[in-house]
Amino acid sequence: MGDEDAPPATAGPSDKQKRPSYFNPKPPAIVPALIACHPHAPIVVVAIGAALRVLNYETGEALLLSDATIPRRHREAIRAIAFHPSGALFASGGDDKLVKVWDTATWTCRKTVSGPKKISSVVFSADARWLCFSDKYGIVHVTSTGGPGDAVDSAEAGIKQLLAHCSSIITSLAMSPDGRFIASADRDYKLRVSVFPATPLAGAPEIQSFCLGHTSYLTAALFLPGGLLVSAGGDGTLRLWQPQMGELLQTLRLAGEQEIAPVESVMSLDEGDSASESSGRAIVALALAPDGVSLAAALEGCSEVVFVHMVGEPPALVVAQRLSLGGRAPPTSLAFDAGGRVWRVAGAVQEIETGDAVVTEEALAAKEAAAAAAAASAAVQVELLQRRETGVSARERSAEPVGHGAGEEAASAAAVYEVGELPGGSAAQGVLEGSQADAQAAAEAAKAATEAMRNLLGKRMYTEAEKIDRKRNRNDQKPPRGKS
Amino acid sequence: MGGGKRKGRSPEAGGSTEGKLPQKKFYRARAHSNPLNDSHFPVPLSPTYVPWSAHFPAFFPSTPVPAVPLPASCSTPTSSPAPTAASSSGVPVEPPAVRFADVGCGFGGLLVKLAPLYPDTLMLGMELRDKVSEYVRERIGALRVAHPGQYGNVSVMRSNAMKYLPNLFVKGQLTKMFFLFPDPHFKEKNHRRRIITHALLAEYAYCLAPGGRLYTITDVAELGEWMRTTLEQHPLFQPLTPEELAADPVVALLDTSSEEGQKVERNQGQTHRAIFKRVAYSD
Repeated sequence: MGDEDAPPATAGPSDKQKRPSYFNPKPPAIVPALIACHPHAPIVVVAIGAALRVLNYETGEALLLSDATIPRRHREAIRAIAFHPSGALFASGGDDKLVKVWDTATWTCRKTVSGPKKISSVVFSADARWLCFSDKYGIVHVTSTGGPGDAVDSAEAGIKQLLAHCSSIITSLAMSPDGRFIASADRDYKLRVSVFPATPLAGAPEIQSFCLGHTSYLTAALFLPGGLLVSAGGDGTLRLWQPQMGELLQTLRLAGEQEIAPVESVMSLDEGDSASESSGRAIVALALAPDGVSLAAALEGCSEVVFVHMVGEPPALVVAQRLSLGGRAPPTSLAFDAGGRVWRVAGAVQEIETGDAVVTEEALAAKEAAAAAAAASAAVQVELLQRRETGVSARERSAEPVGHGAGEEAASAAAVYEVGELPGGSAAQGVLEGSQADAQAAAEAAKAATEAMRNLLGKRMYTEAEKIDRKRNRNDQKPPRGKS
Repeated sequence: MGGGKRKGRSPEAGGSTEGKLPQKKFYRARAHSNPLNDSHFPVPLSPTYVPWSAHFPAFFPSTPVPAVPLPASCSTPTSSPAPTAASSSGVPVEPPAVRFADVGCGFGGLLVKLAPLYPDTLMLGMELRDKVSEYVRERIGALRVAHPGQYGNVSVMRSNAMKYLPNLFVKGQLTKMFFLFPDPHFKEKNHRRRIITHALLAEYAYCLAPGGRLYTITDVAELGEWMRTTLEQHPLFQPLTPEELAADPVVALLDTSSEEGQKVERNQGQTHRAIFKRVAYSD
């Protein structure tokens, strides 16, 4: 029932102690550290809080950002980063509602636009002319990337609504390699595939398909080079879709019970799902290798990275390796670099929430400084997982491949990964991890971040007692007063 | 709205018994419901999982023998693409599918009027308020008992059309969608709760077959203007021509079929209609 807007009128200050759990204050916003690698050059970017740390890992040199746009820095934590597939452009968007487009040749900020709500995901169009970014209300906006070839007049420079989900946080955006489709994943279990128009500023009204099947919020979606779509969700599954028809080709469960219940017929938000949402671990990170067939996934609170390969015809996903990180911090984000190695980052920063009240210049400056300080003192841990080139020992495969009969074959054919040394040594490590390279703190921060994600994206579960109590306190059903 | 007039509180106590029309006084509900809230009622995971045979038992014979009384094609007047769902078993005949959706059906006045007019077309009412949807369910059940062989083609579901249309209908399944006297949401802050918005029209266009029609009517001039201009600005919708309007038998029902419409008529209020059709996408 839809009356959650206002607390019950009967709940006076004296009732505060008795208030049920759904009146608890909002849990703090904890933003995980993110990592992205240049698709061709030896460049890795870590976003922690409001800070972007860029490293050339061949030279071990930190690349400095220059930004002449207004505002010059992110003022709150960065929530989304992405490279264009060519590597020429990079985008960052955050809780300060700002989206910045960076030129990766010089690492100068090309353009800054402000969205109406906190930014949740960014993606470039295939031709690099457009940047799409989604916000927490479920709207996907589009803006030109402001390249020299573009006419950056006042109309083009602004943002336009591309499409919208109804009041649902969009957790991930993906652009098909041929540029025909844009996929948007939300917390309402939906994955929408829309036709990406030739003139995006006019909107993308044509929906190609809905990919429905996840039994919890989605956390990531990406297109494979062949045009298939892979999504990851809070239900601990990877799903393979044929995006033209929205047809579910395969469900690969990485967490929870191996066998799926025969019919996941109803997404009951009341009780049925609580089992899967609490016992199943969400997939918090998903990355695609440059070879286009390997994927790496990280599970909520799990100190391991799961490598998944696409094999066979018709294509199927199989688990190739579960690499245990031996008690190290669970990853909050993963990225493949140009050489096929996997970078993992663990860490998070707690948001200082000031709302929209800040208006003065001094207050904004103070906010920027506080955000920078929070980022500088955040615990971050970066590690590299590299291919074990020779001698695939059985010991390294800490868990046997799970999945179909083809799994064994796929695993033996695929590269096996192991924890490796960070190129560039401790200097590079210092650039990416900052001063607080405390593994224990990073692990705790990563855990808090996934907890915060669950709070943010998961549906609230009410107990039967709470529901009855709520109904009793509804302000539209007060019993007639003064009559017996 | 729905003040303290009620005497008995439980519909079970004073509601309908088998075959008797339910009494509305036991099903009064607050007129407004925030559609943006997280829903706490079961929602089908995808159209494949909707228990259509439970909603329309007369159209889904229990034996899967193709002794279907009516071919599915007769309920699809336009060249709508056949739904691709329900490919689970090797049933040769396409199962009948819902073609009309009444979004925010309220107490179900339009559905009850439409049911005898299109006896071979399945129609689904969607209503967010649980008591009201329960009333419509009881009402349809009673009508089916009182008029054997009729009203088997209408049903109701508690749902939120702003969020869950793709969970119920496959692409291009519907031929008509109705939005009668929707909540006006006057405050500018709440305009995003309106049922006709530019973004949501994309989802309605997804559910509608090309040529499918979208009917809106309201007694609020401001909302009527909003709905008309929003529809006009959307590239996938075009207004009906005057000839098409005149030839459409449903148009006459919009004003007076629903409870809200009858109230407006009693008060001699003005109504504002906007009727559009779904056109193909060209980029």
